[in-house]
Amino acid sequence: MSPESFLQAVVNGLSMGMIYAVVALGLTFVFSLMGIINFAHAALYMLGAYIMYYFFARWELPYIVALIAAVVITGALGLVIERYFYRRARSVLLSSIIIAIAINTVMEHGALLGFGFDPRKVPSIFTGVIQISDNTFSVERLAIGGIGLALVLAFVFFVRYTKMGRAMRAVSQDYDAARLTGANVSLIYSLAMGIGCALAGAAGALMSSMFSVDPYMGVPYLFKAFVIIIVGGLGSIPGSIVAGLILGQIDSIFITWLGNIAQMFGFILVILILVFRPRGLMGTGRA
Amino acid sequence: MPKKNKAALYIILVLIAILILFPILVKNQYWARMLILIFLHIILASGLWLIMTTGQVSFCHAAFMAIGAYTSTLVVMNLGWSFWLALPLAGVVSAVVALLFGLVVLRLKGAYFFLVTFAFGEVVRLAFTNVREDVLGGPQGIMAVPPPTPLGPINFIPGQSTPFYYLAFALMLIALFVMYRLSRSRIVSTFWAIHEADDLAESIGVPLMKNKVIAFCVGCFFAGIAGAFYAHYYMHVSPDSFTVTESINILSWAVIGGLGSWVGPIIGATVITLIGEYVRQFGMYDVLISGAIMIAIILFMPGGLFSLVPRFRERINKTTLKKLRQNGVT
Repeated sequence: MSPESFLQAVVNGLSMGMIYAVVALGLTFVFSLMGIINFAHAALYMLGAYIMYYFFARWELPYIVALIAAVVITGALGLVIERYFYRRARSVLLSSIIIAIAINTVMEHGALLGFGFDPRKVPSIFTGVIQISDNTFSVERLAIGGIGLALVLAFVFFVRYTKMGRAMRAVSQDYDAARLTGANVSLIYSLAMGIGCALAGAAGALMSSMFSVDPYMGVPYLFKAFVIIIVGGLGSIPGSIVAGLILGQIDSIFITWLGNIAQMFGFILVILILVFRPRGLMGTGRA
Repeated sequence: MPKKNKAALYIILVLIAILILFPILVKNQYWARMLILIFLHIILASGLWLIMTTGQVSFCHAAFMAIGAYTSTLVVMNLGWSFWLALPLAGVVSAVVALLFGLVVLRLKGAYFFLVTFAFGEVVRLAFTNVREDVLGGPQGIMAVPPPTPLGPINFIPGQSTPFYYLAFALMLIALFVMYRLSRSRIVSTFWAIHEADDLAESIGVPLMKNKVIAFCVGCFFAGIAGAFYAHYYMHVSPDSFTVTESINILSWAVIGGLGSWVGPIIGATVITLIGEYVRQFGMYDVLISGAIMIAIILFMPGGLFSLVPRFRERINKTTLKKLRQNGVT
């Protein structure tokens, strides 16, 4: 690999890694509060991309309106899923896993029936390339990585500095103590699920112009998010961001360099991390 | 023997008799194939059930099925082994891989174990897809796997399901007998103790790792056996047959049947396989409907389908009690 293409791969990896981090943050946030591995994340990612397709490509609304619509609709759906399904199955890891998988399956097939089999294309609003000496960088990747970074920062700000964010962190640390001090746990769970799903929807909407949109597009990103939340430490927000960027680099550098077999690296990394450092790179909890 | 158990024994014997006579009485190939599928699913779900009695939710059962299927296929096709040697070997290889993997990861609990097994399943699938394509066949897998070699007078001819039916039935009976014996023995009680309160169990001297490893190895042994049967019955192995989706299916059979008893996975595998077949008439809506049924079962019957049995029995007891009271007996 020449140094030029290496630099390009690193920058592309950073931009992809940012989106991976957005997907994984939603997943790890829901897990740290409710103890649920939200398989429906994949379906919400897919739905975000379809909303982008319909609002922006089909009905020709402004890009920003379509993006906001994707966030709001997937977030609202997250609230509904939490209220009517997860709330009843939350106490048992197994039941919640099966419910989450079934909801994901139902949504994927619903999309297949409602939106059709053929992959859709969303035109890009960010065009052109930036030339710096011998390196070519796609504006689209840079812009999407930038929006991803903005989302991550907004999320971190919310969790760190708002009252609701503080209440959520309190619930994830100690459920009973948080309830005793008057935190509205039901509301917090619903909101957390809404925010988690909105992050998935936003990531899907952002990625829709880079890859084709189809009902099963979310699953590979769900798998990547699994890798990220383990490597970063289950429930750790900074860990997910760092691990997202690492996986972005692995995907970008190793797959261009070694081909398909590099897909195994992420999963092998998961096994190694869990064996030697189960709380992940930056996790605080016990495994 | 208590009366309740005697009744259960009769029911089981009658069921076995019906299933033995089935291919003789019913010449319908469709139902024979359907039952073979159900037997296969029961073997898989029971193995996973045993693993889950220790509280470990494994998400890579299909990977061990793949290891068994590839092992058997390779030794039969490349080394010229007989199927009847390859079948146990497939189980043993799966169990050995489970032993090595389990020794490393079984100390993880809950979501951590779930996610590490998920990663392992993906590693196995990607390895079978990308490593040594000349031997393992790459993404297409291996075609034209030979059917089992004749066993005495019984010839296994592709397309004729009766011999395969008895083979699958025998394998299922062996698996279920092992599950039944284990569930009556001290060891599964120990598993449940670990499931309910592992710290407490450890504090009174239960070796956690040893028990978890035993459960994991036995469960994966049967997954390997099922994989070998699968390969020689469908005469084809490929990484696509053993994806996460297949692991999810096995998990859902066990959970929906109910984890409380070794009977649970039998009910779950049977009911879900039949539902899956039934909803096929709805064409594209099939997965939608079966998914909705699964959600409903979990939401309204958290203990799985098997939890209906004690509930039902309780109702019968209540009504008989009522009758006895009316007659002035008690």
